[in-house]
Amino acid sequence: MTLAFGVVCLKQTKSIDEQMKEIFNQFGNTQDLSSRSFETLTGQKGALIYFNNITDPKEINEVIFPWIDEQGKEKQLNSQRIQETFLIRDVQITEDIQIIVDNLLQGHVVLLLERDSAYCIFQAEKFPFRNPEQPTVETTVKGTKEGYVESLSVNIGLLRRYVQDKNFRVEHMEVGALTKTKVAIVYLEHIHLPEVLEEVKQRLKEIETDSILSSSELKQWLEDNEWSIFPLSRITERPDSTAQSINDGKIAILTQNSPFAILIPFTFFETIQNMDDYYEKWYVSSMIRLVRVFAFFISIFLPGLYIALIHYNPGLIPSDLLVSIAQSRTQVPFPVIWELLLMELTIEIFREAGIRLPKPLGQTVGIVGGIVIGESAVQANLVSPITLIVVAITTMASFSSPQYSMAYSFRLLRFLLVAAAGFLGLYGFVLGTMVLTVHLASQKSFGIPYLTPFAPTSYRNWIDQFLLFPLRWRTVKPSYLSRKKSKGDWKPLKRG
Amino acid sequence: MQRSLSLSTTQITWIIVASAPVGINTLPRMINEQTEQTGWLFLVATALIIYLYMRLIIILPERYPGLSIFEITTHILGKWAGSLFILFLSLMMIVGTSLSLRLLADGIINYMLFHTPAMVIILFMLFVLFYTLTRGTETIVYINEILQPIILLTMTMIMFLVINKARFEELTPIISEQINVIQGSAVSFYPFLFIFVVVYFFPYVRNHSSLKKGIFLGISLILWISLTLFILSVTLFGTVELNYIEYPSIEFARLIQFPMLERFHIFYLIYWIIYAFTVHTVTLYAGSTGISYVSKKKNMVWIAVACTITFLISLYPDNIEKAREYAMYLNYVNLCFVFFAFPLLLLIDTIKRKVNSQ
Repeated sequence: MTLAFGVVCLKQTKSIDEQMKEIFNQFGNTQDLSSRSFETLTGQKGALIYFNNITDPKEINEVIFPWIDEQGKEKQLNSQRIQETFLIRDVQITEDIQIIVDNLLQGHVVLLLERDSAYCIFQAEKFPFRNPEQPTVETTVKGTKEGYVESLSVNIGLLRRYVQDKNFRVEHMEVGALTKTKVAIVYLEHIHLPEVLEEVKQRLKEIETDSILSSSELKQWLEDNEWSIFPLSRITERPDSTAQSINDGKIAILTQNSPFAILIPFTFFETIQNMDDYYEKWYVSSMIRLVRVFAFFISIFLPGLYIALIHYNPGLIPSDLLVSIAQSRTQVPFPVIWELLLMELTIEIFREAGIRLPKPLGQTVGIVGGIVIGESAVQANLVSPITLIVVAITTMASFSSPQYSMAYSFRLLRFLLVAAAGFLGLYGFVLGTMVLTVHLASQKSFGIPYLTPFAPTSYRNWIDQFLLFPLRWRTVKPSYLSRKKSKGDWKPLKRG
Repeated sequence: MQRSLSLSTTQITWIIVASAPVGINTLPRMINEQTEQTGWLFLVATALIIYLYMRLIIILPERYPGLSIFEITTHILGKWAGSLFILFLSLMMIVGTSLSLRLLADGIINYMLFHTPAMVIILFMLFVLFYTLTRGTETIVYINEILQPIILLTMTMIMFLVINKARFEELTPIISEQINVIQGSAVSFYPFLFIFVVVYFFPYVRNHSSLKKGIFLGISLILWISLTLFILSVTLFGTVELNYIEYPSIEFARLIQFPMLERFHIFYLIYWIIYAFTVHTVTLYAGSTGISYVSKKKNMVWIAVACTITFLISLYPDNIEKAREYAMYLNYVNLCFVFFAFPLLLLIDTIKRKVNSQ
């Protein structure tokens, strides 16, 4: 939980009642805006205005009121005295009603005093949020067990704990005309690419919308191509992952009210990277990554290839297997493509239902539904067992990507390749794959080609791709992310 | 945020490799018909000539750094002659792509889609090519960087899988009356038919030494592919049998036996489709940017026009034999025009420079 405490002064030109009315009118008499009137021992009247649910009552009762009471015993209060005696926070002076409104919305307290030309605003916000907990989407075995929360300041604090460097920079901006969502741009001054940072700021400034409620929404506004099927920036709920990324030269964007950070730029091959990889020995991580690559190919290509082979080129399948497949399909009335699409659709429904249902119930329904319906569908000759196996393997493989949003892309692409293979067999399948390759090659993330470091080729950066090289080899930053250093200036982090 | 493209040695290499026409698939038979087992010597000699020729051509971007081949040509020859030169070059690219597409389509009908009309196969490839070309130069460079190493690795893998069946004594060069030196030389130029597509990428070459290295590596790799295909075809089938095999490279893939896969040659055909796609991307890119420059209109429109022309021309040959025959004619026109035109361009520029300096 965060708690800030300070004072902002404002010139008073009207009576307290008039000022209160003016402030209340700004909010259309909303019922969570409160006021508390008081009178000091010198007989000076005053009032505090604040929002109930976002202001800390302890601060009002134990800090602000005792202070006013103490200061108002002998002399009348005024802005000058407040500035001199209230030393907990800086005092800002403003005459702008809009600033008062903004401060109230941020959980601050407005103080109105009789016979004084100034109004004061105390800062005592207390927004409800949870404590850092174990990440739910990006789980690791050996990694840190804390994830981001909905508070921007807590998230920045978490990051600061991981990167205790004087070059750590935080820049705040606001997006969303109504929500006024605070975002923090976090980077390492001596490593990041200035042109990427400038582009980030520019794109944030150019956002014209009333509301930004989460990082996922902001991510869509920032990405280079909104039509791309692939995510062009990465989203993470792990501070250790963010710390590692900004260490490599990336820029992190944290959003108020969102437990996710956006990491940019993002390249396609980061899809197979997971924080756990860095906590294991290089050969173990490399093997796991190769498994993920294999799973990636299965999740995208297997259904399309299955259609192409069964429909157009059964001669490619070994004779024994072909006979077995043919026998299993004899009673199925649908063409293989409809059979496969039917099962894919069923799986998608199970998946969607599994997410919406309460967690314990969702798993049970998913397993029971999957087994019962799958078994029944085979017995009713609606699908063949081999199709069921293909769909099940594909679905499991699509979730092997550590980047959750990439799993959605894989699933969509699968349908494209199934359609292509259904129309022109292996030829269509290859053409579909080419369209996919071209699409990937044409994408960029903040000026960085999406297929970096393979296209454009950068051998130096292959140390952390499909295979993870030993730690001592990985002491240099990715060249496409970090600022170029003059000779001798670069000090790679010697580890091990 | 855009960054200007600057081609590296690797990228130039892959672009050059992508310029080797799809007809390279039937090259072993074509060379064998003219030169028998001595064909590999012709290929090596041709590669050397091509390398020297390319070293000559790259003097142009050295003299005009940052300029496109269109700007260089119009600067040297003047507006009209320059435009005609470019137009002819571009049309040749489009015709070459059309014939190459037709050869590919017939191959696919023979082995994969037995009842699908060639028109459909060509049309869908053109749709994909259109999409690719609209993505821009950078994308074309990147897809080659991704796909070409995979293609070469597949090629090498297949070579190792059949090498135990090869009879290398078949390769001993012979001097025989049946060797047609002129025809054989002309045919052996075929793998380098579109090698000059690299001139279309001159504006993106920032480092001249990268260009030199890229050209050397590119030519070496084309030579490696064509030599491998020829040597394997001759050593696996023999010079007599080879003359009767339509697609030698696909046929030697038939010899590969995998316990898990039957008819491996169809998978080999997938490799050829990918290879054809990369070749057509580069050649059609050259054709469309050429006519786009001459017309001073948006490239997008001319990509569509180039694709339409390609489609119509590809349907013209009555059968695969005719398509192959036209491809050989194109090879001869190419030999006569390109291999003389560029050195002539260089000569005119040198003379003009000397005259101006006096």
